[in-house]
Amino acid sequence: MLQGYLRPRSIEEAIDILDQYEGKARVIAGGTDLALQLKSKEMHLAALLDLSVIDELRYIVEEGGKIKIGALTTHTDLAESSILHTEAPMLSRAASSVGSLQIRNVGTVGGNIVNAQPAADTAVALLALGARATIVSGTGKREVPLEQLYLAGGGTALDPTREILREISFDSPGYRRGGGAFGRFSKRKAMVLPVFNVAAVLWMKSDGLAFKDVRIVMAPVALVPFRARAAECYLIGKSPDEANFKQASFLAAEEAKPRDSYFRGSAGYRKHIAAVMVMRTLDEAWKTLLNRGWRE
Amino acid sequence: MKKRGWGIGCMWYGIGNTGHPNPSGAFVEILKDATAILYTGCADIGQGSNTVLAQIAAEELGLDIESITIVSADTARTPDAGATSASRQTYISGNAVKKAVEQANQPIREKAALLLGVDESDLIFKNNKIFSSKSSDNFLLLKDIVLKCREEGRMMIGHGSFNPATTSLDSETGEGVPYAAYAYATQYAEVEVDTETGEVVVLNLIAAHDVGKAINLQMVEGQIEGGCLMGLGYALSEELVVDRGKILNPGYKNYLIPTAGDLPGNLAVHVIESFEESGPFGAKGVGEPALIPTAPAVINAISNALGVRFYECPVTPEKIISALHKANENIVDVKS
Repeated sequence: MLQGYLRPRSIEEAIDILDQYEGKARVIAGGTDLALQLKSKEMHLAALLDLSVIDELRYIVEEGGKIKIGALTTHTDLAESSILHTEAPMLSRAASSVGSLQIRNVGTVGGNIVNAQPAADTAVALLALGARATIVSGTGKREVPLEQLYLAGGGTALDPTREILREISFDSPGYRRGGGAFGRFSKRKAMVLPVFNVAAVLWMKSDGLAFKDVRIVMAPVALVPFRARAAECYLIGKSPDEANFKQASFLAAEEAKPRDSYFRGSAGYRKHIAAVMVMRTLDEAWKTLLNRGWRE
Repeated sequence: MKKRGWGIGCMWYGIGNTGHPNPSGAFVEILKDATAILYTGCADIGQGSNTVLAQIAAEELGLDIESITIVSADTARTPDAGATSASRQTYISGNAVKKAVEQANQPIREKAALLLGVDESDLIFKNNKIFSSKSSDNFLLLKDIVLKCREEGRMMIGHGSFNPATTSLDSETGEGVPYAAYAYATQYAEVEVDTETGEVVVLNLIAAHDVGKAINLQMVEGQIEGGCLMGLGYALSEELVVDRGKILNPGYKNYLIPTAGDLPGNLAVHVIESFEESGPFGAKGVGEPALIPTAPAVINAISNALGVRFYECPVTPEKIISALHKANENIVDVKS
């Protein structure tokens, strides 16, 4: 039975309270997922800690090519950020495809990550951007690559009974001769989970002729968003052309392991969509890279 | 690749219940202050019948709609108006209201004809006044005549009912008169189909509907636009998934109705007024006709774009990809 609804003024105070409740309290930010879980699941919580008044956790800043995003930054903030429009438009695009305007206005990027939905749009983009999560607790602070935060069996390695996600950060691709894109296929234009979503970031070698590094992240074709490593490996060292992108998207679709689903479609169709969407997203990532040039 | 195509869907639809009596009744009282109370069993489920029926009463009396108070959907106080279904309330309850007002208005007509020195058939009720059709300078204020009637002890109360002229249908041949009035409509759709994903984008949807007479043009347009969106859901996304008798998508999370974002690039409504002789001021129904031609028009457009026909709704992206694969296999078969 829920007894307390607390509004700590700082993240330090929030951590203290979490510890005091010894596992019987949870953090609530936008609440767009948690409120549904509270209704449908047997969650025996004594208290909710509403972080939404802690403005110090809501920011998007750029410092020397590094983008830092506070965990309480909303999807609308991400969608409308001029910094992201310049440095990582793929993240704005991913954020703007979540739910509805009302959900984007309250749902936070931290919540989207910690809730670990298999198809979380911003998480897919952030994983491709190589983002790292800063997590704080009563025992200190740790920084974890986002892809290590997600557990292969679903969920995250963050302990919600004592830890709080504080910040997400990544290197702007543009500063390392990189460019990225986000692609999403869904059965309707809004208010629906994707059949498939993908984010890709391409980084060029200094000669500008071949790829130095590639990250392709796909969902929901496994329990958590995951990297299409065979496709990435194939592209590294290759030149940006249609045949290479085509082969990479074929490899990515091979790596995707969708199940037959009444709503998302048959496994065969979902693999087909994966190949099409990876191809289009690689193509768009390359165009983004070309159009925006790169800064040394 | 993206392919474009166009298609047309046409329909005719009988207004009211099929081959059965389905009457509606109404009461009206014109009060001393020249306002009126209208009692109807008609349930406004959002389509706007309270507004339309009040408009019909106001039009008949030459009053503003604000002068009509409506008591509806409460058969403890009102006559029965039958169900809000079969696109029937504007047509059937509209006629009942019009007749009730005519009866309530009779003392006023008699008095006004006498004072203006004209026949009752020459009276025009407009802008809270009663005119002679022979001279627009010659008029009376409605409220004065109402008061005169009351001073003479005459109440202005009316009841009306309407039952569309139908017959039962022959049980063997189906012969008979199922409906008294019919609505007609044609819709035109232009689509763009992504042949790699199967996604369909409706670029243009034009809906032309014969509504007899639009009592409230904005509501008629709104109902047709809403119907078009429902039709798009039927054509493209609304799929009830049943597994051994159990519905697997009993909520809007997985039963996908269109959102505002799924509106066609252009949605144009053309209201055609043919004047239905048996309808109130020429009106007939529009509720269900609004959605009927949409799915055929859209699916014809998809077939026109792809050269493949579909026989099952909704035509989802997966069904399109599967049909395109099959079509390609057939082409290979023919060649070999």
